[in-house]
Parts: sequence; structure tokens; C-alpha cells
Amino acid sequence: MARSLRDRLVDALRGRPSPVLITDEGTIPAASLWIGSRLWVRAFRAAGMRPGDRVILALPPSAAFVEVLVAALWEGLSIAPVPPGADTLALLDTLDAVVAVVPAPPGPAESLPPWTWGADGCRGPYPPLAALRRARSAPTPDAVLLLCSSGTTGSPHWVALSDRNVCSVLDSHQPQLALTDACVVSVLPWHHAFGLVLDLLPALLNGAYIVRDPFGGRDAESLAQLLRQAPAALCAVPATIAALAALPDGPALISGLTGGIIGGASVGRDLAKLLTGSALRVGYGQTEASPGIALGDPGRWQPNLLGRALGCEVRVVDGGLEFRGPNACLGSWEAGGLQMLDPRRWVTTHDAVELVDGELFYRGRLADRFKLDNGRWVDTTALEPLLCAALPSASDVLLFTTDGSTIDVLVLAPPDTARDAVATEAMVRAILGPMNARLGRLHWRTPPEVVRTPKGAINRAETVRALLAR
Amino acid sequence: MSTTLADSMWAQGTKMASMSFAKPDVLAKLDSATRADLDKLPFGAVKVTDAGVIQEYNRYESQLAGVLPTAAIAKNFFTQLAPCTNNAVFYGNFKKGVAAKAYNLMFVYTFSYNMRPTPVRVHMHRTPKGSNWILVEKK
Repeated sequence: MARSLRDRLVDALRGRPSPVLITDEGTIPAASLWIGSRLWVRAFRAAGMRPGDRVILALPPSAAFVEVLVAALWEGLSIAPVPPGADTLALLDTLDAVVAVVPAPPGPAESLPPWTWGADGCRGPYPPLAALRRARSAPTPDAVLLLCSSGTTGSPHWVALSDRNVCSVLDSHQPQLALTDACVVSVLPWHHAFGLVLDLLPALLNGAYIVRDPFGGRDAESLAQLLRQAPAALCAVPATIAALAALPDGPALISGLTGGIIGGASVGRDLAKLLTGSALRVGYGQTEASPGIALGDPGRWQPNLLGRALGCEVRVVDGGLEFRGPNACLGSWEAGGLQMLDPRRWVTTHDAVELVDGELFYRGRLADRFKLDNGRWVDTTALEPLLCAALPSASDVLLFTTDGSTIDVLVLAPPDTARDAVATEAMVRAILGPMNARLGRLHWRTPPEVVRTPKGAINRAETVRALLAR
Repeated sequence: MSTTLADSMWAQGTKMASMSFAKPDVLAKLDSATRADLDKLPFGAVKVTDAGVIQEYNRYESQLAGVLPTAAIAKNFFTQLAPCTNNAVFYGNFKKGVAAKAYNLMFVYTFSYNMRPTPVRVHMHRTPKGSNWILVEKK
């Protein structure tokens, strides 16, 4: 039987000199993280918490975060990591949780909201501790994690992951990451599946030296300073790598990275070129997949490459990717309860992909396809890559409609690109085929004018809105 | 890896040593200090051999750690008394300093004294006479 996450973390931390967490708080070895987690175990027991009680973990990436996580796993609680500063009172209600853990207030603990405990840095709970909230729904001992999906589907929701879910992804991905005794610079949020399961946990379980960027990768210069100190592995979203690459020594820092996964959004042509030959690899997944679905080889990059399926089966149905396996989430938290899902099911990702010799390539969101008023589907996921390939200077091409009758084309290309309107229109008409009669306007914009998500993906709706607002 | 990270922490720690709780005049008297002198220090003072074996263990450190000096002396600091320090950034830098026959660095670390994580400032110093000191102040 596979070892539980709890057992793995116990072995990795108890009495060990490493992993080592290096934050603004100082240098904290595994043994101290372990001792801190025992203080939380004591507090959970003293409060009468039972396996499956839900706990909101609203701490920044820190020793306290790790300590509460380990203690909650030890006690079999269901942990819901959320962004620090989140509205914990509302979340306590949403998840019917019994307690929220937040950073200790500068004043007395009595200033905390009800059912809220303070974490005194790495020193354990900050007494006195508030009473537990009385939960209306049943405990959820099978759900070790409740994670809010990052909303790439446009509808953020709570995903429940089991111990088997998380361990299956660790088992499939960890051997590829070579983190033993590594230095890891951590920028991803730990309340997201990517940052928690594929960045923090593998680093902890492999005795790594984890240097936490206090700006979480949002300040490229701060991140660069950390990377200048020592070669490190780095997991990040494309936007972080793009910002780093824009620094004078950014490309050299990127080529000096010892490993890491770039995921959360697809990588475009320019970034793929920069990353080719580096130690970085592409990773693809979503919270519902705990979150690993595919992984690339180090240094192998192509525009929109997602890697090869890892730890699960994949298939493409009507252009959309589906997966099945032990990584498929246990269920979801909806309507005040845990809704269990069939573990053998095929899960639709809502992503359009192309499978080429075993490698997956991102082709867009299925929801981005649109229907014209004559009932004809415009398959953006098929047409946009063709248009982009036909326009070598274009970084991206978007198709959209404003009236349901015509197809507008937005070409993103550097400002110095020769814009031959006649030739481009002819090429677009050729690719649209019979739909060319519906061609509307051709727009040219430079890549910086596009609206992007925090991960670096194009925010299609906002980009079109901004375009039309001019 | 950790070697280069440790090197970086060595460089930072060397800069931070100038802001240490252990002032130069105190450091200069460590070699001649009696056990009673050490017990008067307002911070922990642990003297170790080049191999890390404890030779002196003062009262402050004893009270902070809850370990009697008699139980600490002759034990290896890095592998027996405080095994949480047996990593690249603590013991690794100690060994590097011993090999170089000179070191003076300070950093923030978290010990587990009396079953409670305790952030401390650690000042590792080698005197001109070649004795190794691990000085500790609770934050």
C-alpha cells in the first residue's frame, strides 16, 4: 500500500536537519518545523477537533504554514489553504469549517474574529485560542485538501483532493524533479495546487533548501537577487519567467536554473525559444488533477507544448482533452457538502489540445469557440494556430465576433512588423475557407497591448473589450 | 546546490557579524574567559573543537536549551546535541570556516528548545588562537 502524505512528511521532517526553509523569518530546519507542528497537534486535540473537521489555512508561505499543514495531516483534518488576507469568516461559512488559522495579530488574540486562531510565527498557536465553530455538515476525512480552483474555467470552485490523489502526483512527478539536496526558490502561492503539490511538497520531501521569495515572483528584480545567490530550481508561471527574462541578466539567470516546472498557462513562441535548452520543463494540469496531467522533458520547448501525459491516461474527444487516473480529484465542495465523484471517470479539462506523437499541444479553451448566426461553429482552437503559423511575425492570433455575424481577427505582432494588409487578408481568407465571406475587421496590436492573466495567459475577453473600447 | 547557497549565506553572515549581539571586546576575551565568566554572558556560548565536540557550555545556553552543561560537554554539537544544525547552511559553513582557519558570521536560525521552535541569532566565531565559538541569543 502506498505511503500516506502524512507518513512521508513525518519521515522527511522529524529530527531532520533538512529540508530547510529560508524566509524573512530566518532559517528554519526540518526538525524545528516538526516541533512546531506538534504544538499545533496539541492545540487541535485540546480543542476537540476530529478527523475530517475542516480548517481554513490563511497564512502566507512561511514556517507556520508548513507546521499547520503537517499538524492537520497528522490529525486527519481537511485543510483548505486560502490566500492570506482572505475573508475567513465568509470562508468558514462557505466550507462549513470549524476554525481558521491566520497570522497572529499585533495586539491581543481577543482582537481576532470568532473561530479564528493566530499563528505566532513558527512558534505555534498564539494563545488564547477561540472556540471552534460548530459545523452543520459531516466531517470529510477522505478529503485532505480543499482547494479553490484558480478559475481558468471562469467559475472558481472548491476541489477536494484525497491523500491518494496527492500521493499519486508526487509519485509520478517527484522522480523527474531531482530535488534531493537542491536549492529551490519558491515563488508560487502555496494555497494553489501547483505551488503546494508540485513545488512545496516535493521540496520538503526531498530535503531541499527552500528559499521563499517574499514577493512571490511579482517583483522580477527581487527574484533575480535570490537567483543570483545560488543556482536553484524554480517553478513558476510563464508571466514570472517573462518578467525575469526582461532583466539584463535575466536570460543568463534562466539558463542557470537547475530545474523546475513552468505551468499555469501555455508558453508562446518567444518564451519557448528562450527556454529551449534550459533545465526548465513544461508542466500541465489543473486543480482537478491534483494538479498533474502532463510534464515535458527539461529544455524541450515549443510554442503551446504541454508535455506528455504522466501518472494518468489522456484522450482527445472532439478536440478537448480528458484524463483519467488516480490524480482525478475525489470530489468537490458544493452546496454545503462534499460531492464525491466516480474515481474511474474521464474528467474533461475544457482545454482544446492536439496530440502529436504523444505530446500535447494547447490549442485554447473549448469555451472560446463561438457560433455564428448561421449556426456555423468557428473553431478558434483549430484556426488560430493555423493563422499564427502562417504569420511568422505574430506571437498570437485571436478570432472573435462582436455581432455574431462576422469574424474579426486580432494579430499580435511586434511594432516593427511589416503589416501588409492585402496579403494578410488574402492569407486569412484562405485559411477561413468557406467562412471567409464572414471576415470582418483585421486588427493589429503589439503584444504589450494585450491583457493577460496573472499567470501570463491572454485574457481574451478583456483584450477584446479593450480593443473595442478604443 | 546547497554548497553555493551556503556560500551565499556565508557572505551575508559575514556582513551581519558586524551587527552582532557579541561585541568585539567580548569576542576578544573569549579565550581567556573562565567558566564563571562565560556563565555571566547575556547570551549562549558554546565552545567546540574543530570536530564539533563541545568543550564549554554556558549557563544561558543551558537554560535556553534545558540541557545541563555536564550532559552537553563532550558531545558533538552538530550530530548529537543539535542535529538540526547538521546541514549545509550551518554545519557546512562551520566546516568551511574551520578549514579556512577563520570565520566570523551571524545568521538567524530556529532551534527547537524545550519542544518549542525558538528563533535565535547565531554568531559563529573563530578566535585568533583557533578556538571555535557558537554564540546564541534568543530573538
